[in-house]
Amino acid sequence: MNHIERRYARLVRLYPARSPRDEILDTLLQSGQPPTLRETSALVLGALRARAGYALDRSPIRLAALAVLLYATAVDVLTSLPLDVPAIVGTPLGIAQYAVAGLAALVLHVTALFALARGAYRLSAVAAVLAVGPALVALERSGSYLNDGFWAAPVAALLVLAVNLSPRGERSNPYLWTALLPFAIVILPTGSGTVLTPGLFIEQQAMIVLVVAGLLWSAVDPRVPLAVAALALCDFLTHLTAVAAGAVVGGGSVAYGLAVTAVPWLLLLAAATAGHRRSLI
Amino acid sequence: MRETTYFTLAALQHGPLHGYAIIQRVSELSGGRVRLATGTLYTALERLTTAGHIRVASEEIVNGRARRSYQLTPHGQTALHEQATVYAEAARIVTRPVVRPA
Repeated sequence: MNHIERRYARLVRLYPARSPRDEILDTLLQSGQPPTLRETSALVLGALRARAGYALDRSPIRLAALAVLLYATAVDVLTSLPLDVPAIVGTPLGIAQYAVAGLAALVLHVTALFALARGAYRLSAVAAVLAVGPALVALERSGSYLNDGFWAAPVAALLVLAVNLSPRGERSNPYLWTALLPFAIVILPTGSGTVLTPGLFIEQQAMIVLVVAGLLWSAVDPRVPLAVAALALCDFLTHLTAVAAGAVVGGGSVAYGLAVTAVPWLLLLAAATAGHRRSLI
Repeated sequence: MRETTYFTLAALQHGPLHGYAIIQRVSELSGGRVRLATGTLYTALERLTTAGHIRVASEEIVNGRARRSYQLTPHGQTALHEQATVYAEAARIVTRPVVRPA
């Protein structure tokens, strides 16, 4: 194996094992040229795309639906935390607490998340739609309906319904998604800052990181910027609701606030669209 | 259909070719304007195979490595001809003699 072959072989190893690595290496070596910057970048990008596995037979919005379901589940965890079990057991009206609604939404969202990951699209849609009511009741009754995460449940339900319009039979590991839940609570805008002191700071920084990562990854897999766009859209809708409810006052600051929350998801949506167009044949 | 896809399919219209031969043929057909990088070619080949436009025609072992040849499917042939008609129509708008009413 000569020097050129070794350099190409290193690059070709970036491709997943299911790719025709031998054949790609054979084609590269037939040119007889050492790797150029153009060829190297095409190989790296090609390998990343092959690993991401995005193709026309894959749903572009399934990942977004899973991400927002995870977000909604993380919000439910916080609204169901103050559950007073002794009150439920000991008093006739003890069940009338917002945390019970939060717990119901949590169970339904976990069901929807598991079902969608396992490819049971209809069950996921039923659970996601049923979860909207208790999730919103829990947030409204807890006094945090204008907090981040208020729109997670409705947006998740809409996305799962949209996935059901053209189911592709894709599956992923539901336990992996569940394992991401603690990170989602701290990283996503769940309002965990009221429970966890550094939560708000982490959420603000993490959202910026997610938006930048989503934009960068759009060249590889448009599903990722679309998923981050869906998360950012929830933020925007919450801000819009706050403005509509008169909770945000001040002419210039209102427009500025709306623009600041609108720019990320619009940029991500544009990046996802461009990425999807690049993946067309 | 993207231009690189059009030329890749056009390269295969007269028979199966392997990867490097496709790159060379695309360059010839486009007058050197479309130069496919190998990484780009194999992403395109995977997508075209998934879409049913091409399929693997044969596989041989050369220098201990697999070398597969690809060929157009009837579906790919139809898509190529449809795109060629679109390009021809678009070109005709510009290149046909304009007869203006007196």
